[in-house]
Amino acid sequence: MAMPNARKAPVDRARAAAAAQLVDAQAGRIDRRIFVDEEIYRIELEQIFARCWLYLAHESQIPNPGDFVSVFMGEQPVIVCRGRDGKINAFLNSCRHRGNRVCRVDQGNAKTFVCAYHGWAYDTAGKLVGVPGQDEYYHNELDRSAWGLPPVARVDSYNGLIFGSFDAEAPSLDDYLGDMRWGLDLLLGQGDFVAVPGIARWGIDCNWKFASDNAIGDMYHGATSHRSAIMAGHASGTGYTVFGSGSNTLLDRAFFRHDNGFTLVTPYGHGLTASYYDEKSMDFSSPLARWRTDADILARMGEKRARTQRANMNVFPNLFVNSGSRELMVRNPLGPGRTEMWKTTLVDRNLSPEAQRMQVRASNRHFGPAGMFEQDDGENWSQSTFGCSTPVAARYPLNYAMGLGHGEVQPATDGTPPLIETLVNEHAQLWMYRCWAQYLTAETWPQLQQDHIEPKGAL
Amino acid sequence: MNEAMTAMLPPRLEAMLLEHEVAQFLYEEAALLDGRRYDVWLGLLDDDLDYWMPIRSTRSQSEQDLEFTQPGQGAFFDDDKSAMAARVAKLATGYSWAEDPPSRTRRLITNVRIAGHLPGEPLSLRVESNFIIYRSRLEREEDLWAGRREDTLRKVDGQWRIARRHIFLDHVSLLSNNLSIFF
Repeated sequence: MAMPNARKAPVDRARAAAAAQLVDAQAGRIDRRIFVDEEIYRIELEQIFARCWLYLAHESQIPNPGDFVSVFMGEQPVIVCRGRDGKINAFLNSCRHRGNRVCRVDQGNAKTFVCAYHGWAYDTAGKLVGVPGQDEYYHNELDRSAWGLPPVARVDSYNGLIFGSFDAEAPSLDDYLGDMRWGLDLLLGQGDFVAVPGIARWGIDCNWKFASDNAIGDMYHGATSHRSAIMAGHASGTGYTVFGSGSNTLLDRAFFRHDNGFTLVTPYGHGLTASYYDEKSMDFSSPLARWRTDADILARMGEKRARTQRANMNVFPNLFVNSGSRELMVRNPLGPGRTEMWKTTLVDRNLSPEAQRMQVRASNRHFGPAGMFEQDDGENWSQSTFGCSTPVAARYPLNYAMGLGHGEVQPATDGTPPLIETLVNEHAQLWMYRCWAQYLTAETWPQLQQDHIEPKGAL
Repeated sequence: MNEAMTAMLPPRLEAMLLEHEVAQFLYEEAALLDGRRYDVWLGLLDDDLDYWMPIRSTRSQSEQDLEFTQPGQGAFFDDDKSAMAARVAKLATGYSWAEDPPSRTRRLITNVRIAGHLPGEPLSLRVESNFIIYRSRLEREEDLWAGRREDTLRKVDGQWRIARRHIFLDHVSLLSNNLSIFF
């Protein structure tokens, strides 16, 4: 629902079309300017972050009426609040009077959100319910129903994950996610998940797309970026994967082998890469591996997903999901050269407290700013971004051509979406940028739905 | 000063000597970390180490008791001795990119207070301190972390050991690319 008196800033169509041309999907080349240009970033905020379904929070973070979390959609502060009626509401965190955030804490429980400047008060659905001096100063002429906090146009959940879109014309969340739901269930199908308290937040001097393109399909970087963690004996965040230290590590095992997994790409820019496990590297007796011996879960997962050790995925534009260490990570842009990470760990509510503790500890040690793996990502993505900002280097495109033309999309089979049967490639990354270019130029969601690309042939 | 001589001192003077000894230990420890002598530093950590940095969130005044996550919840560091040994081993591989080339750090450890004696043997103290850590990286990268530590220090065979370190940062959203150093 658009609020009365809402006005959207126009997008410069010529600039957007020129930006889209900077992705050369045929040659697998991407112009470095898309990672640093201020104008392109402004277009992204409108065409991507103000239109796509964005992850907001996990339902378990706001179980009771009045519970809220304060989050960001792109750069936009938003409140996600469970109303008195139990319904999940999301609305802008910006007073209609002078624009102040009406909520300045990260989470809590509230009956109303009261602006600290002049006292306008809004209820748990964002409705304006109190205006000091309404009779005397406003002569009862203020139509409170027209001055509520603007709602996020669409709010819906998928298996506990709350998403929102600012665009009333967006397709349903189910249509937006499409086959990516099959991918998300690699994690969400393992059990009945709740969010572990504590969102790790930290900022990296990088463009948000470098984080997303790493999430969606960079199985190439592990052997170099994370070499030191692997050599030190840290294998993964699953809590039940067993690797040796020294030379006898996953560097030598199947983990990074080209054909040891699969790649999924789906319409609207989502995708994942998943590796198969090798029997020697798994402790099936661990309580954290319980789902791997549960006949019902295995039946639902099907053969392909049951063999998966772990998948890294990205829900376009900025939600990274890791099915191994069971994390959700939002990457919120703060300008073309700055991104804030929000990491939430999920845990199966049916596990014993000891097993939950095991998993949380494994996740805490694996990802996050101090994570054995992730500390080196921050260094690398900030270097990528810096490398795109210098004038002469900017003349030379980046190479996204690994495996170009060799990624044959296999047709869907019973219960399995179309997949590419390789692990280490750049198909998903290039796919993401092809979709990114479409978001920039498409004027409306109906146009995007009509023109969107489907994975087929050889990518 | 030997035990017999210490025993003859007035209690307040005895307490001051202990405070001095503890502060000197923390300064020496900070110098080891600034000097990147991680293998020596690892030796200061006791075998039952509990090294933990919870996550903080902005909460209203009435919910200040919920600011920090609890043990078992999300944390930046959630390590025992073997996890810390793995961190130190990682730094020595030659491929630990976030610290190779290394960060240049300066730790300022202040407001050292003995908050309590724990019962039993060996001598174990609850020690609180504040810190500011400055980091300079590559050409122009700079980071600053401020916070408070709650340690349990234990005197084993005449040597102080860190059995517990809980680190409470003043940040809610960290401004640094990573936390590739120790606190």
